[in-house]
Amino acid sequence: MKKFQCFGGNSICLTVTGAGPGQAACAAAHILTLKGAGRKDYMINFGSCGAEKFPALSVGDTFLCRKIMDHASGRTYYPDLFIDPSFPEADLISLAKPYDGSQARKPENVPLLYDMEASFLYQAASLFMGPDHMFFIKAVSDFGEEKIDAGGLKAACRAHEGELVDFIRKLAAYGQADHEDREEENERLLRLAEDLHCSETMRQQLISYARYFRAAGIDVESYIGEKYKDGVLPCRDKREGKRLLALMRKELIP
Amino acid sequence: MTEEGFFYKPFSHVYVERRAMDREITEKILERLPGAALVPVDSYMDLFGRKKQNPAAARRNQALILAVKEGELIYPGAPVCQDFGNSHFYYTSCEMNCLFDCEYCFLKGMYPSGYHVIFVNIEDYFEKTEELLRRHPLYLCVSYDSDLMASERLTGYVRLWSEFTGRHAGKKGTGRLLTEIRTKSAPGKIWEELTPYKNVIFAFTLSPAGIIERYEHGTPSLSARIESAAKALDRGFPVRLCFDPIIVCSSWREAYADMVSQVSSSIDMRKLVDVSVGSFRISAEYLGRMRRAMPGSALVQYPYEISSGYYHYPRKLMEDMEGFLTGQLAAHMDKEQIFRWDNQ
Repeated sequence: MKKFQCFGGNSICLTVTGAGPGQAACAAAHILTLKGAGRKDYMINFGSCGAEKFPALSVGDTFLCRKIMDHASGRTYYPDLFIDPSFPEADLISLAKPYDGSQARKPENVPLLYDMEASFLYQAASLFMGPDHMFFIKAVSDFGEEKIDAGGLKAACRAHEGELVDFIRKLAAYGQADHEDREEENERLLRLAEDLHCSETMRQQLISYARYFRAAGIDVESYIGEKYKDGVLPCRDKREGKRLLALMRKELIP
Repeated sequence: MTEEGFFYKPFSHVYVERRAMDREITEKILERLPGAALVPVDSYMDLFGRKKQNPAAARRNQALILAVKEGELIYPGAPVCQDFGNSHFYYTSCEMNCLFDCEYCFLKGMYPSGYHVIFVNIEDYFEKTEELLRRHPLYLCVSYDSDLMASERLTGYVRLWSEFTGRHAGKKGTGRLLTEIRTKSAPGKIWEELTPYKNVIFAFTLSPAGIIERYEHGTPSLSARIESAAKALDRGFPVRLCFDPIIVCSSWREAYADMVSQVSSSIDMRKLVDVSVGSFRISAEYLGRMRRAMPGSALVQYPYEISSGYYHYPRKLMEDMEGFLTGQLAAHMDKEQIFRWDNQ
């Protein structure tokens, strides 16, 4: 049963977390678990934020957060800056309650933003993926004193919608290219281990050889194919299997 | 996907510890990276020590961290490293990670991060070295966890270590401190700028051209390194050549014989301080991490054997390779100058 609104297809899933640290962390943990997210997946947190006054800073300006400070704990989190979403950078403080100006701090050399979700999302997502797979993009909706209405919030968030959608598409394409399907290969390996009558030690050896063959680009498929054709495989027993394994090592590995 | 602009450029960001901000070396480094975005941080470990980092990605888009190192700065040398017959063998790391990207490098398994860290409190390293020198002589390797020569234009640390060691040269030039600066670089001009002290050894790591091309990404060619070593030797610098690690390849005998032939035709090897020979070996813990991070590297995925917590080539292959190379080298220099890693 889904606890959070979730939209999407195969490669992109959009979740509305709702506002606040608890919602954010729960949503991340729930959806990332549900989707079986792991090291090859990416997470983008997009939302509105408050901001300290900063030269030339306006409502609607959208930033990539290079540093996320948790106000309550004092800890600082750093998403890696490897992939460039082409947004200017800012620092962010995640608060437990809405920014009202009383939590003000002085910006350093980039704008300073405030939200209530990022650091909690970072911590939750860290259980599933590395810091190079997380992006925190925030649109300035206010400077702390004023009231924000739904229309204003929507306008702020849509100010750089085009760039954001463009980045999401590029990231999804990049992520797909990065993903390798090894299911078929693993099944072949399992079959070979059975036909070699592998003990656990032999199985571990076979796995280590398979990793090497794959990395070295050695066409072990043809080699194994010949062994089946010649009747060497399947082996009669473990002793024959061990001999064939030793032969594989001698003939295929320098 | 390699679309222009999709990735940040290397050194686009420099993270600087606040306590490192006002240091002379910090200012010099930042001057040399005028386009970099400066990110103030509290502690370098907030970045370097994060979980689930991708060191390979970090090396592709390398970011720099400038920090102040505290606590222990000088460490006893590791058992897998050659001490060249020196007692009191120590090493130090005033930089972490390397501008080069060698596939077999133990740093990929040792460090959780691929970020390049420069510790800017070099004067503290000198102070700790002098503390140790008051107790006993020291053989100190200063370029193990990085390649100081490769980043010399940023830091000037080769010059600083050289000058510091020179001050401890003593009357005969050998003194109580012997420093080794190891590199895969091929500098030219530096040999005209530095003073050749007898107690500063410049160690060039050499591999066959095919191995360099395949595994030592971003490093100068074999020819360039030989030329640099020859120039250093000509100008009176103590030079060591390190044929370590030896890496197996399909025609390894020919490859290593060609390499020695190339070296000996450019360098009178009897003039070298010594050479070291050793096949690839690495701690099991480090290789485990490297294997998880680098599934596409044949070198890392090679089915090594393990003994006493270290992975290495099968013993017979190891003996064959090291014995072969030692024999090749012995044709050009005294056997006493050849140090082979004790793999017993």
